[in-house]
Amino acid sequence: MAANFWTSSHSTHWILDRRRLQDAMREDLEYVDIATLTRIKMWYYNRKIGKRLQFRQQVVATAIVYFKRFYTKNSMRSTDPSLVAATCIYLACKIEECPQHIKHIITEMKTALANHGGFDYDTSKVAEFEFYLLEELEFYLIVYHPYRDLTLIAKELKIEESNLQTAWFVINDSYRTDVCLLYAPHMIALAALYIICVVHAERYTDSNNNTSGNNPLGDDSGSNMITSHTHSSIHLHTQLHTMASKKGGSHHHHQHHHHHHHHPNNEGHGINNRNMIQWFADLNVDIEEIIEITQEMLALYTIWKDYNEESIPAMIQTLKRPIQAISPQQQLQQPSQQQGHHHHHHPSQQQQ
Amino acid sequence: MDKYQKIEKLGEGTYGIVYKAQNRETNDVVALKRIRLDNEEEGVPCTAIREISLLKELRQNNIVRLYDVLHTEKKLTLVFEFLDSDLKKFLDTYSGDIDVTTIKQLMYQLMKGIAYCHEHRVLHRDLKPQNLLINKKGDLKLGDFGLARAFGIPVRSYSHEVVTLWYRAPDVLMGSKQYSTSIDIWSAGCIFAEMASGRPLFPGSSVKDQLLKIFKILGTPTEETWPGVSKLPEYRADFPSFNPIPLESLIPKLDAPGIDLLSRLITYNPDKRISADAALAHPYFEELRRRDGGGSSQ
Repeated sequence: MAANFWTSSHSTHWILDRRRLQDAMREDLEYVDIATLTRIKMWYYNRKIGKRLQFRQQVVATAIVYFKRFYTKNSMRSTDPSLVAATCIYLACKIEECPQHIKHIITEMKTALANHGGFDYDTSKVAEFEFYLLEELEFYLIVYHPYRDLTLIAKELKIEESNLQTAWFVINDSYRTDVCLLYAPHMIALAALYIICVVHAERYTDSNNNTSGNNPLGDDSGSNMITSHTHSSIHLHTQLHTMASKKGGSHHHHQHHHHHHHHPNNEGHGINNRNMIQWFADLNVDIEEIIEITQEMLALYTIWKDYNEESIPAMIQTLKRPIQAISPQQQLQQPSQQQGHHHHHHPSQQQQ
Repeated sequence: MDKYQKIEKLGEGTYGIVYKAQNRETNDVVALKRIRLDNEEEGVPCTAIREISLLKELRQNNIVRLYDVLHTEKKLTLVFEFLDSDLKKFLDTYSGDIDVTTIKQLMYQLMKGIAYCHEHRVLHRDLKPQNLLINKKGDLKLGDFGLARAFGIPVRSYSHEVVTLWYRAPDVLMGSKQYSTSIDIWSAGCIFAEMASGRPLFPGSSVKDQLLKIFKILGTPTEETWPGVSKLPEYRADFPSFNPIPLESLIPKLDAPGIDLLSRLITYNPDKRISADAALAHPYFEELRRRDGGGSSQ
């Protein structure tokens, strides 16, 4: 259904603004700070369970989008993320036409969470929660992903296989951020290409240079390639910005799909950095958005550098701990945790 | 809480009972599809999930509208736009006595609905007269998307048993796993012939019989008439050999453009089968197109 993203429920109902995401985090932020919450979420977005079940990328990506959409209306503290995660995977399997038995999903969840608090829900609980999840998703279940757009653009630009592969990984990584709730999938695909062909290429003109390192999040991540390039990107953004604004600056993203753009100047000889920047500058899309997504991704890679999976269960415990039990030490870590905030953010809940 | 007053039971769908009902506030008449959720083992049925998710995305005059999804204790209720009848009942009532203008109008709407689905990358996969809803005004709308799927995602193969046998494409019958929009087109061709003759075109009783029924009319396919047919999993070199029968002798009611369109809809080779968009542009529909386009453009 990619040809009609603009009329889809994804486009009309599920592209949100940042304020909505911030509002959704308020309750949780009374118990943990934003960095902790980000790490907890990242932990749930990992693809371990998907990998164990050998799902296609698409299934896992859809499940993650459901998970994120659910938590724009609920707090992690009040609804157990492990139950939400299991149900999202279960539902995504139905939608992506690879249905799995609930029992199978539960078994996998139990294994995956064995050392991380376990999984205490039975079949009927997951079935019941599926219903609630469907309602929270407003029964809008068809999700568009950037992979298809990436493939189309890469074909048009004759992107090298290795670059395409890395851009694909960057898209995988993007599911650990909120970009899929904020931007259209083709913008995320463009940003992934921008990161690979411009930001990355700026530092390593030889794009086949395979950097390898220790990646805490598995082999299918673009982080190895990207992490160290944050600094060069600022220069590039400026360059891109200048070039884009020179051509009159009518970047309205809402009605133009990416099919109308120009080919880069050099046909057949792959792409070089300068041409790519020009190509991006000439796109009939909102360049600001591409830069925002890029920055979001680079920020993710920065967080990743000191991400330690072992520390996550303790963070989750903090999030779930009863209010009275919060230690003074944790209160010190969270300057925003003041009595006034509770009443301020959730007047209705406090009154009940 | 009970927003709808049931009027009568309409029948049983793929996954639950369908009622005619009335909205107590607006008096609108709707069709309610009740899905019982006593299957705690596997939650909401896949077919229901598929139908809901696709109909939430599709909005066009020739596709039944899903107004709402209601959730009560152990039930899920889909609230659909109500249409009095379906093409099967309509055909049963008039048994072959439908005038050529009505046939053309119904066929045009069917192709429009299919074209919209295909444009949105949705395959219906189960087109048959029972699933084509019609009302007294002569509107036709595609219903029952329980077997439909979005085909945006390349998958190895779709589930094998999909389209009801009589309307099932020969490539699917012979085990092809790469079918796409062309399967809906074949079904539309069979429905077209059925409207014009009053009888199902290929009323097979088993996969084997279904193929024979097709061969007896279109001739047994060969590598010349359908390149690649011999590589299909269920192809047999010893299929009984039949010569094609001219379609005009079978369906005298259709004029030459009608016969031409029919032959393009039920073309053996799925790659050569006409697309829904091309069918809408076929000379057979010329007068309807003129009326259609006259108001909106130029």
